[in-house]
Amino acid sequence: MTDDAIMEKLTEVFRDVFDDASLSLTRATAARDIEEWDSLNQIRLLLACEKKFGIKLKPRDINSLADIGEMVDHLAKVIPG
Amino acid sequence: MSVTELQTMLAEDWRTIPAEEVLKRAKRFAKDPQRTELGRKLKVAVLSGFLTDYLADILVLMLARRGIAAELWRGPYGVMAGAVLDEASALHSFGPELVLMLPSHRDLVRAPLTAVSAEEAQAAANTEGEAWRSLWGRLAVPVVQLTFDPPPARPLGELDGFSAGGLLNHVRCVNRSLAEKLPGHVALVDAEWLAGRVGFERWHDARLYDMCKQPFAFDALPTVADALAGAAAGLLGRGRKCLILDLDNTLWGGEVGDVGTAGITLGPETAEGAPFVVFQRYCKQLSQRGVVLAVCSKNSDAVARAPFMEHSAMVLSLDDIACFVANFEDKASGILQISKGLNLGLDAMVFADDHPVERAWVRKQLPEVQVVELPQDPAGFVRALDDCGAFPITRLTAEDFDRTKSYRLQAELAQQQTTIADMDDFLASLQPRVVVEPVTPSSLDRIVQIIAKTNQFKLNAQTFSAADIEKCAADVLAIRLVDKLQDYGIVAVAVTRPNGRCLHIDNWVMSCRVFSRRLEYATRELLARRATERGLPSLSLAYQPTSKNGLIAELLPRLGFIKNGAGDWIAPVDPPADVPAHHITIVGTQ
Repeated sequence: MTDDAIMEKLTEVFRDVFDDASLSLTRATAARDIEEWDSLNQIRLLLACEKKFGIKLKPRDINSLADIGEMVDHLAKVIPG
Repeated sequence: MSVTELQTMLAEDWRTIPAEEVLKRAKRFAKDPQRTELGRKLKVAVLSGFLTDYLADILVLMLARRGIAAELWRGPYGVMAGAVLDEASALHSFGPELVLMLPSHRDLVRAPLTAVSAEEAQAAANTEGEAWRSLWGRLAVPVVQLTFDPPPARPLGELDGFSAGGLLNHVRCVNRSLAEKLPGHVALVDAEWLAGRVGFERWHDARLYDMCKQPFAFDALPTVADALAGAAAGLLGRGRKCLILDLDNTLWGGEVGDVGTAGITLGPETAEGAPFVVFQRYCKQLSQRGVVLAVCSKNSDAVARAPFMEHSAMVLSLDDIACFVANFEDKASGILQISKGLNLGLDAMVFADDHPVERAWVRKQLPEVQVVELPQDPAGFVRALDDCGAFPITRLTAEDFDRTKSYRLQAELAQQQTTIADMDDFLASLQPRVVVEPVTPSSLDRIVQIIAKTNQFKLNAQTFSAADIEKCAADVLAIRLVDKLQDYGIVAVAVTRPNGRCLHIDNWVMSCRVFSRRLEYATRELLARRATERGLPSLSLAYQPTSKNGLIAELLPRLGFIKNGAGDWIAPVDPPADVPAHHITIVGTQ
């Protein structure tokens, strides 16, 4: 999967979890940029990503990512094919 | 968001959409300040052994579906006993009107060792149960208690649930112990059943628990929240009372008007006929525990009644139906007729009909009526009705068992009254008697229940716990009505106390089943007798109008009450000269 395709699906996940259809992501977006992005919503994001991409994620790996760019890179590594 | 838009969020469809969607809807709903317009405001405290952050919004939504506008306060997870016992705790300063106690099997502290004896295991379970009972005793408000859930694994295998050393056995013994001595202000939610309902895979999500101390998967949250809200509604007397059934393709297959009684699909012999038998049996069981059944069918009356009298596979009989409406008017009109005949409000009604158009029509015309979303396949009817949780029950009283009969007679009387010219002759012909019942363990539950559940004939919102009633037992007037048709049980209660030169009535309720029987006049006579016995020359009471108790305002002047400058209603002991004769014989006063 290309980075662009991952970014597109990731945006859908974020819009869904934060219930905000106008939300947009860049590689620089981080937790501080989205008001409701707290530890509880972080878990919802993790579970939603697992469903969306059909993968399993380790909470520890996700928690150590600094921004969306790192998240896309991490997903690119984990998604098979 | 407008109130109407908010109302659509409370729709029946939550079981058919993914939990994440329900969670999103719930978040939107809980955030909206307008939501408090949709029900009675109530301060609800949640004490739990696990994280309830995700549960909270869905809980608010599910309570709103039951007419409760919750202001939620949640204790930090793991703090239950401490919050209750410490009178200076945040729980107590919040001042909850309802407390939800949500422990899990992890909160059990006396789990037995493998080699323990049966006696020791039972004693440990009783001690564990006793600890929770003592917490309930510290809370003077209604409590919804989740029982302990079955643990995810069984070290003792198939013996875990039955042998003394098993944790599952301990869970079951503790739960049984909680249920056995249940005080009137506590309702249980059966965690073992609930875990089965949502499925073990979703009840025990070990990974999520490790991440954030929420034990359930997200998919389980709506069902868990709904069960808690249902128990809360039952405890607060907000359950529904009457199930209105369609006939064709709901109670049997086919249209009896076209195929005749012999042609309908009904009976255990065929796969098509069997589910209707199962559905009827379920409805019958509801009726036996106090849910009033009614029929609303688009058929001629004779055609609609024929299967009840002639078809051998019918489980329900005409005796089970309190009010039978079969005509060619639209169903909303039929339901209004039933509401009038049974003297029950639309918010007490549940409507079950296989036809989507009829359901949509009733939903639109009568939004107060809860409409069950029956699936296309009748094999799913029972589950749909059971799942809708409209008839929560927290305890059974003898009156519950007899209610349909009583409502049926009420509907018949309503009919007779229109044909009997002289009301006085009619009432006298029933040979009514009232008996003043002392407060005893057997009458206590009913007294508390009738005060909590009555909405129409009720002076004000004040309710009383079982302990309150016991405390002022000598000042409680509990009235049983008996006539030549039946024993109605305790149908009116007044809680009184001497106050200066008045016998003051804190609250006075009367069941709508006995409206138009002039029981209010007989009750007034009993109150006057009581005042005279205590040397008090006047009666007083506190009436606060609500959306439902308007009839009291009309009644009070007829009973001789006059509103004074302070807003209290006062009457001399002797009733006005023109009160109608009540024809009720008073027997066995205290």
